[in-house]
Amino acid sequence: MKLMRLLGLPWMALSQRWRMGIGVCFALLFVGATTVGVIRLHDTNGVLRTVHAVAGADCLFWAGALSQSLLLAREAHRLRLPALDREVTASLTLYALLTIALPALLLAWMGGNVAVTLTEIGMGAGLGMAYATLPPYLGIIVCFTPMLSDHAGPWLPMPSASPDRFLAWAVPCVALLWLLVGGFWRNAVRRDSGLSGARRPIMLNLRTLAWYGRNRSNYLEVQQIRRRWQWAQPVADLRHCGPDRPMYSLRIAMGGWSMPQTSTSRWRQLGILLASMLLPIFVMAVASHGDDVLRSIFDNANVLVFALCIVGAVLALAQVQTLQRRWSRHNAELPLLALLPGLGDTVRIKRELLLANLLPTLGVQALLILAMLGLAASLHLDAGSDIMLLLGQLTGMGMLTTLALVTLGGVHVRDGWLMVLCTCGYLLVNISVVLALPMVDNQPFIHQPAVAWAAAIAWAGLFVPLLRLGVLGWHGLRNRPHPFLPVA
Amino acid sequence: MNAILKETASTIAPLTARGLTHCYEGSNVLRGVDLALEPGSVLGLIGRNGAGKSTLIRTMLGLLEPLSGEARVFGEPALKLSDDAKARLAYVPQQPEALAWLTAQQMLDYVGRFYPRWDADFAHRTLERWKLQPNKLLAKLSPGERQRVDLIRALASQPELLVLDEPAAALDPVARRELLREVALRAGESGTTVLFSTHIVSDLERVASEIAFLHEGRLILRCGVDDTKERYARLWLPAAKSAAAPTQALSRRRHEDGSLSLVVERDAQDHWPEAASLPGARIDALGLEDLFVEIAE
Repeated sequence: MKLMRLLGLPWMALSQRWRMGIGVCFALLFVGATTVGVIRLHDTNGVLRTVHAVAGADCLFWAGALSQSLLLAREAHRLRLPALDREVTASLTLYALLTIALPALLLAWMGGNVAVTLTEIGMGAGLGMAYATLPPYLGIIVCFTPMLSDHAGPWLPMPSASPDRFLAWAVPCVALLWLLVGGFWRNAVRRDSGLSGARRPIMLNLRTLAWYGRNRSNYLEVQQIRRRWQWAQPVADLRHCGPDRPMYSLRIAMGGWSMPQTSTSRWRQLGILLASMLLPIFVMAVASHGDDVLRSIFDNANVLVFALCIVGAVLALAQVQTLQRRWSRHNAELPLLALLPGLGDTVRIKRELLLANLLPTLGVQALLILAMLGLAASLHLDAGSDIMLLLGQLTGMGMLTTLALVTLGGVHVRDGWLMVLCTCGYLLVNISVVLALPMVDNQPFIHQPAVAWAAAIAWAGLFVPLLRLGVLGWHGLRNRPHPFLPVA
Repeated sequence: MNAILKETASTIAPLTARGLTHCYEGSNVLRGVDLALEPGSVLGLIGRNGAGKSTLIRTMLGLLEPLSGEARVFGEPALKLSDDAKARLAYVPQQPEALAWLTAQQMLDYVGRFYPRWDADFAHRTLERWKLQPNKLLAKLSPGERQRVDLIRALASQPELLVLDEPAAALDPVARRELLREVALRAGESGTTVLFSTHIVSDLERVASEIAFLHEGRLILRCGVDDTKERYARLWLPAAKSAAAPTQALSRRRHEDGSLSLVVERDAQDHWPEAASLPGARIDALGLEDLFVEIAE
């Protein structure tokens, strides 16, 4: 009975639906890993591959399921329940025996090196736990660890190459990793209320987001502003706002990337954006092919076309998200703007509001179209491919216009449907580039009639609901007494 | 002609609601509310959490479309206010969160450009007096500080009608006193009409000239603050006399021993209900807080 309670303890912090979901995922993972292990056991590296698979599965299991015990430990500490605190420790120890020690012994019995097996599986579980319980900036590093075995071979010997040399660096690292996890665990349990978002474990931050439900987008925006350094904050340019320039003023009230900023602030934001893009490119360059990555990105027009298309779609979705944030809160911008004098009559306000939300993004998307067509010309693409690329950008523009009208017009659409629509639109933007560019034998896929027909049907399937929603939104906006009424 | 116009403008009720109904997800929040504010009055809207106070205020200001009924601000339909009406009105929502990406000073500068009677000097002085950092981003202010910035925003526009939704909810006692003093000053000196919602009864007693009690979406009581003690009382009837209880009562509670407690009101001739004169019956005067609790329970 006690054993069952200890086994069930980490699951108590999860809802029934999550328990079911995680249970099914891990059952499938376990069956898959076992099958692969049994099939490949006769290979020379069969046991080692199984150890990799078990370490990977343990990483996910500890990150997704067992890390939830932190919530219980925290509550036990807050409610002064030392017995529950001890049970959480005992439960994790039991799971460590079952998911680390037991598989290691089994694999050692099948012919593996017991120390190597134990270390690698312990490392997998530790990395999973580190992702969930360390502060985000440390936890994210865990995501890059799979690259170790591919790219760090010359510096860090892997078990397949030299088990002894692997143990020489891995054992201290694993010990340090678990010590770090223990330290941050203790800190999170005892000082959670005093920890800022940047220092709180990812798992606790995700929990907070889940608690905010549909308002998480607003919560994230405020958190982002709070955490940003003062020098990195965008500074609004208020010089030209006022009743004479309603569109300009409304853009300030909407916030987001399209808010009018001082030129210093605009250049600073651009610098921050470029710097943040350089970091991943640098990591990729160092980790994989040296400077080939940079060359492959900037010498390859295909990649640039792809990037331009994606940027257009992402900008549209970002603008729509900003709009949805503003129209979901009844104690923020809506009452302020609804009662702000000087914006003019209702018809004028609706027109200026629509333009304030559409024009900046549509303008950037138009520039992206020009850049894309220029690149297409340099690639000597034919009219069919050009049309596909145009369709990709127009999809982003259409989604922006439609979803803006839906929000401003107060049309109630279920979140699930919007999610499906946005996902389909985003996928079609991606597909449009793939079909337009000469990927195989210097021939774009769109030249094949079957592909062209399938693409036409897919686009019709997206544009028909977009058009219908757009018309509904337009009528909704026209019929509203004023546009600053929250979405029902 | 001008004199007639001026008189008409000053006698128009700044805020009226007639038969307002509204519902959220199938449950009725407002059930046919009628309310009118006299010019220069300070009306405290009181009710329990979820009674519909914020919904009523938002509907009266045209920030929410009612299912039925009509709201008017300075005689204009609340949902289609002119710039002139908007310039005479200021509203502070509960827990204001607008324009989090601007600093307090930027927000006041931004809003101030739209109000013809904006008192920039007042805004500047009050920021200093209330010890608010003008260059701090609104997102980084505490809820209480943010509420105070929004109060400054509302007061600096020199409104004729000031509507505050739970203005003291996030304020410390000192800030609350300062706010109430400011509201009383505006009402007394400038004749500003004030509507504010609260469930802090002592705030009502300090500044309100009238109270309106909203309970389960219905306005069940409205009178002058000073009149409540005279006009309403608790009538206790022993079990044997409970059958004679008046049918009209604001609340009715039966005790375990069969006796009955009712909140009753004097009639037009200033008399308590007849049952109050029955042998064994008792009339207890009620303070504002007791009255609130008796009705809300």
